[in-house]
Amino acid sequence: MQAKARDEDCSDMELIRAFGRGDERAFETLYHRYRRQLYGFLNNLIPGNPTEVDEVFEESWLRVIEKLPHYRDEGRFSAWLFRLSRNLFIDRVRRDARNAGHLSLNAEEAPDVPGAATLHPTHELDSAEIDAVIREAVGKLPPEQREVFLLRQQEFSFKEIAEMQNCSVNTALGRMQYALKSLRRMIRDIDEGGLVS
Amino acid sequence: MKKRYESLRVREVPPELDGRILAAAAGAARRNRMRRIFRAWCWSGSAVAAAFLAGFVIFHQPQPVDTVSHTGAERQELPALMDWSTLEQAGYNLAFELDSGNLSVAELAEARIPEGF
Repeated sequence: MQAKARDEDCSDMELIRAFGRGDERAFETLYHRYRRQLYGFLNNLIPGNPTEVDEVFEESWLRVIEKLPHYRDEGRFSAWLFRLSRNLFIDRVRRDARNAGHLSLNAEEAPDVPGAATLHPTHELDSAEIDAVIREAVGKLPPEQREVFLLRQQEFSFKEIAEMQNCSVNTALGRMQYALKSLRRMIRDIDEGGLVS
Repeated sequence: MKKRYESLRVREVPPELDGRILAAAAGAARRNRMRRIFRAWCWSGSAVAAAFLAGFVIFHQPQPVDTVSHTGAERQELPALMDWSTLEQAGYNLAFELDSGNLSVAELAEARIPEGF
């Protein structure tokens, strides 16, 4: 119990070093620290495709386990983790596109996400429905804007987001601005009944 | 920035995913431990081997001839050896000459006299 509490107080770098020395409990602590964040990010990045999400999630962590001994303290571990996961997903999309597969970064091509499309215009939204509305709206964003929005939700800085997306900070800021504009418009449309099919 | 929307967390991580990932990590941790132990053995083994080698080189050096220090008993014998009586000395000289003479006769016997002499 005391050892577990000690692990939870350790920094990411201390846990990584401990794992390098063979301490599997250190990895467990690190994993539990970031697993929900990453899983939520992937679920929203790849809407309506839970199988793909699970595969990318698992492959990301296996890659992390393989690369951790070589990890250098150059920025936050979470930024490195998300960048690795994102790049893995992009590689899969490209590989799949070459094989004329089903994966897509484009939300419009993703299977329908159950959510706001079935709402009646006069129905007052409760919190679960609002959640569904937000999820659907985020899912409909263009891929880069969706990514920036989701990464900001994970509290990454625009500098980190720009590094992950291999673009300038201004571009990342611009994408966020457009994402928020689109989300406001979509949510306003719901309010006025615009998203109801 | 407002704290992340909880609604964006659609699903919880399935337990079987957790299990597979943590099992892989346990295997990697085991391998890391074995690597550390092996590296430690190599280092300590090299240190022991180096110590043995150094010891062998130091203790098996050939001893210089005249640097052996005499013990007390040996020191007492030396003056006795040098204190020969005249008779003993004469006897030794005679024996040496005889030996030398014998040696000379033997050498003559064996020597081949070249033709013409």
